[in-house]
Amino acid sequence: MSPPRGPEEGTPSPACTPAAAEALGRAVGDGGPAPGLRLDAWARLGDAGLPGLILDPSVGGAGLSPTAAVAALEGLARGCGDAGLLFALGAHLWGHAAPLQAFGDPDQRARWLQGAATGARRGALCVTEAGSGADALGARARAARTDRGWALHGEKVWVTNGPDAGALLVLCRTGDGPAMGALTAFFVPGDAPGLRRGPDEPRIGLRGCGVGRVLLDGVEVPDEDRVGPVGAGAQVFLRALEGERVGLSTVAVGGIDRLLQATVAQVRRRFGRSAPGAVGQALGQLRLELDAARAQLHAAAAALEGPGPAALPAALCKVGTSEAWMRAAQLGLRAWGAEGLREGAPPARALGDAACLLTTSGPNDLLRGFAAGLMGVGAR
Amino acid sequence: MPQPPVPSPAEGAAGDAVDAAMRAFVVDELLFGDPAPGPDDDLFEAGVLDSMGLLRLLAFAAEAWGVQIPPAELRLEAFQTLRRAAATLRAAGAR
Repeated sequence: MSPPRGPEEGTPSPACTPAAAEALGRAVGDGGPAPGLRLDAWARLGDAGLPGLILDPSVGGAGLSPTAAVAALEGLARGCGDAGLLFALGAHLWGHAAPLQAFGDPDQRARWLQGAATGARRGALCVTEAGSGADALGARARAARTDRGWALHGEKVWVTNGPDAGALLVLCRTGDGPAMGALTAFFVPGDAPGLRRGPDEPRIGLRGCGVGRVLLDGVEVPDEDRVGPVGAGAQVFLRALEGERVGLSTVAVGGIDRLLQATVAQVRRRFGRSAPGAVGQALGQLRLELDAARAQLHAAAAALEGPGPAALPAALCKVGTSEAWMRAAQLGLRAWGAEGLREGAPPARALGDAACLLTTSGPNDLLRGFAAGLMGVGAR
Repeated sequence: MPQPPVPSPAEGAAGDAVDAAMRAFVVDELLFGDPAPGPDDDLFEAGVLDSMGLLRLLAFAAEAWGVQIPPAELRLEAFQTLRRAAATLRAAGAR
């Protein structure tokens, strides 16, 4: 059952301001220990227009700029401790809907983006493959020409929303040689024959979303569902990652903020007016982590609106905010004492969620090397 | 004190400036001083430009001229040779 809508039945009322998004996040709640996406919580995000936050109003989106969207999502993450749910939203928005909007032709945008904007068709981006390791563009999944279009064969792993997405953006090899020119992106509806999904992968954090394998067993894709030119898959993917790395960083920054607030409250409960010096220092350091991570997030969001690629600030934003979240979790554990060790306690939960973000959307050490490459020094 | 506007150079000379800047970027930044490719050599085939190199080239163009290539127009053919890359950047406003 979906929650009550606003006065204009059927018109999403976007929770576009940080404060409104934060209130929505609180209402949606933190979820329990059970893994998997809470469909009722997703529906509430949909009713508020969040799955279309950055999509054009012509397809029912809220039309927010990256900086405004990042501010709203940071507010949502401040209110909602279900980091997995926020990851499902982030993967949908930045990894799926944004590249379809940027690279889709007008007909494709009209066909695909309305379902994306309402959240009715949750999206996924399928890139990572087993053994592709450090080479994100080393796709071995292939798309072969047929008389009607393309046939996709291969297997993708660790796909956020993979187990339950209504639509998938899939990167496949369509040529030989270097990735540039040899990869192509395709839109695959969730009910396409030959598409099979693995179960949700059990993991230490981000439990509130489905993450799993996607098998492409001769999936037929008409040429009208190719996204961007043949051979332009690397550009589609690199562009999607710029937004995704900044977008997912909102979960870290909002998460640090939540943890700080909960930790201040906990320390005041435990110690009253005057805490031991070490606990006070942990609190001060936590605030320092928050301020630095937030500044980096906002700078990277602004870079998404600049004329050039935001690949470097976006990659380092994910590195910086995920590691800040990890340190914040440890600081939280110091301040909470044994209470912080309970399953579901704010520092324990932050520890698992932050650990997942260290590797999601590009492992941090790989991204450091990527940044070096963008500064003109190849890292091997 | 605001400076008086610089008179815009003739079209041909402006094109030459973008060509020269592109060639210098490729030689200095991508080739570590190796000889420049010819104006019509395939930069991808020669391994001069890869995904990282193209990102750097676009970052350079954004910094040098403030030009932005919309994602949907980011076709490889548009950057396949020095001549085409310069033309692409000029079309986007590089001078």
